[in-house]
Amino acid sequence: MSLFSRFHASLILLLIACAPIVWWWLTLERYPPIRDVFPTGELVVAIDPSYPPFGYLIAGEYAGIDVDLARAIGQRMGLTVRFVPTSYDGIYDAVVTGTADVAFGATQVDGNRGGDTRYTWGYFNNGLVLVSPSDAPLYEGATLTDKTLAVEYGSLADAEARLWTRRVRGLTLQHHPTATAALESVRAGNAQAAIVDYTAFRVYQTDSAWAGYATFLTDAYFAGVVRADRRAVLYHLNQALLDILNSGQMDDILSKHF
Amino acid sequence: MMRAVLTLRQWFQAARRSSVGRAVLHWRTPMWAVRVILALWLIGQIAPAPVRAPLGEPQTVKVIHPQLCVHTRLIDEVPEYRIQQTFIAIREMGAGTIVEFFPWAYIEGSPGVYGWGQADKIFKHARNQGVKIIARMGFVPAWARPDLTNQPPTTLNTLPEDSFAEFAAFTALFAARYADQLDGIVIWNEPNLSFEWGFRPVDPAGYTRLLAASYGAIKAVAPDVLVLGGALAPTVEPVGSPNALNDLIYLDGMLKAGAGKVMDGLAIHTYGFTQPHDAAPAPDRLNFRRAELIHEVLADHGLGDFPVYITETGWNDNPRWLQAVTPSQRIDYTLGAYKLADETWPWAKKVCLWVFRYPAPTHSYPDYFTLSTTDFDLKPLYYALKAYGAGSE
Repeated sequence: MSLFSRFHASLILLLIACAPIVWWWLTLERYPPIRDVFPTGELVVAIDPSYPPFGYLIAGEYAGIDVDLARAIGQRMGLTVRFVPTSYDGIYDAVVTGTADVAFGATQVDGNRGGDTRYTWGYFNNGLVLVSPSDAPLYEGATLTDKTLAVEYGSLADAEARLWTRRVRGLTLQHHPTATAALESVRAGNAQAAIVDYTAFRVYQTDSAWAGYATFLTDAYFAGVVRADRRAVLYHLNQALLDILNSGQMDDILSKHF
Repeated sequence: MMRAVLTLRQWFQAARRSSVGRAVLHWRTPMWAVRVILALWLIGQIAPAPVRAPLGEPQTVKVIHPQLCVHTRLIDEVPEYRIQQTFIAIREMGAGTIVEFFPWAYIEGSPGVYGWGQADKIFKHARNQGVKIIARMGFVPAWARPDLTNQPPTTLNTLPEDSFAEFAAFTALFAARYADQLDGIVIWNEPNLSFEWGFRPVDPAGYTRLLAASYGAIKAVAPDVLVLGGALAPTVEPVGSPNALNDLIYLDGMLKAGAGKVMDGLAIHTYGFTQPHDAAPAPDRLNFRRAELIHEVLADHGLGDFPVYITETGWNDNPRWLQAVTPSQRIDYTLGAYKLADETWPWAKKVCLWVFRYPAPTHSYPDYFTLSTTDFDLKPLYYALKAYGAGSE
């Protein structure tokens, strides 16, 4: 191969190597600034005010994790936040019709749902946790051999625990009418561990001042909901949300309510 | 880079020396490769046979309490055996009727093109288990919704008046197809809520025109099928609220617009929320006995004997939702509600619990309205109702 052809071959290879970067740069979506996306200076947020600690009313004022998060996002974006109370049934339609820019209703990311809505980054993991006393912590399901596991009857935790009974030798399930009762059982020493969702664990910790140990078994992220074609809204919300998550402000919000 | 180019050249030379390389370079595939690919494809096709749901001997429901009824969510259910399992559990509970949603958008995705598959499956298993169906109609296909250029998208609940006749024609087709198995057809759902009316201002007179169009179309082809108006949602929202309108006021508006002549019964929803089944009703309060106030509005219009179908009711036992009760209260109140309706509400033809089961969990408090988990773990309330349905008071 002559020097000339080597040069051309290397040039072609270089172009091929750079092509993905050029393609990425050319197709990179560029979003208008916040003032153009929200010309009224207002961020309209649909919330479900019937679901503490995420959304509720105190003396006619909205409160809760979702409310504080929406206010923090609005502050970072330089927007005034206006809340639209919406029942859980109508929370997706509220953003689809443009009644709200975003919905925060303790809405869990649902892979089965697609089409006309998109989710923001997750801001809270409400997955199932294995809870045990902090002085006898259990780190995984395999350590439950010959132990008693408390769960809320008929819950997702119950379904998970029933699967474990097929894998873990000697595991006994103890059913309770509520997640709180299951945690009470662990605290009282009647069960070695419980499976509950993370919110139930945090609420119980707050109410009882009990320092149980929790380890995540599943992930179930709560996220905001935005209309699919409002990509610029989603982009700016995600930027603000990432700042809140990375700065530790989300932990402050959670600490306020748990 | 030069070194890389030379290495590439050497690679091509090596490839030409090997049989596989020659095959690839000359787009020739040796037979052994074809066989391997075929074998891998066949292995990939190995899968357990789908669970079948063959029909058994036709069953009948031993109905002791005719009001006992439950709302199901079968239209989104994929495995057919789950549909069958649901009807078996409902028959064994002693409920002779269910309420099920049959979205227009699912069945007539394009004008005049119908996909009856899922609805046929539901009716087939209902018939086999001896269970009747109250069909709730709604959800507008995209082709029947207004084209609002530069406006926010419409929802599945946006039905423009121009499409009333098309909706009515669909309900008539549905009624004629399943007439022998229907206990009634509910025209729309909760039209007194803005989001159920496509996020538009609610309109009792407009809804009555939809009801009239549907009533006429259904009676023309299936005169014995009962047409139910509503179903009204319980709410105390005042006149002018952008969210909803008080169901008592809305009903009054419907009846003034002539709804009494274009329905055979009224469908309503009456939830207990945090109050017991026997808590006294009041216009500014939402509880189970709000149904009595609805009945009073009907009576005020000379319709005191008009049949009322409670197509959604119940209590929720989520530990965090503000409108929920405890699981034991839920059982007590639900059983108490059935006894109260049985003894004192002769005008209430059906009292249908929301909801038997969801095909997939909602991951929020609605999951705590169910009688069964998604995985078909029947909850204590189911067994309590089964005992009630069998005559154990």
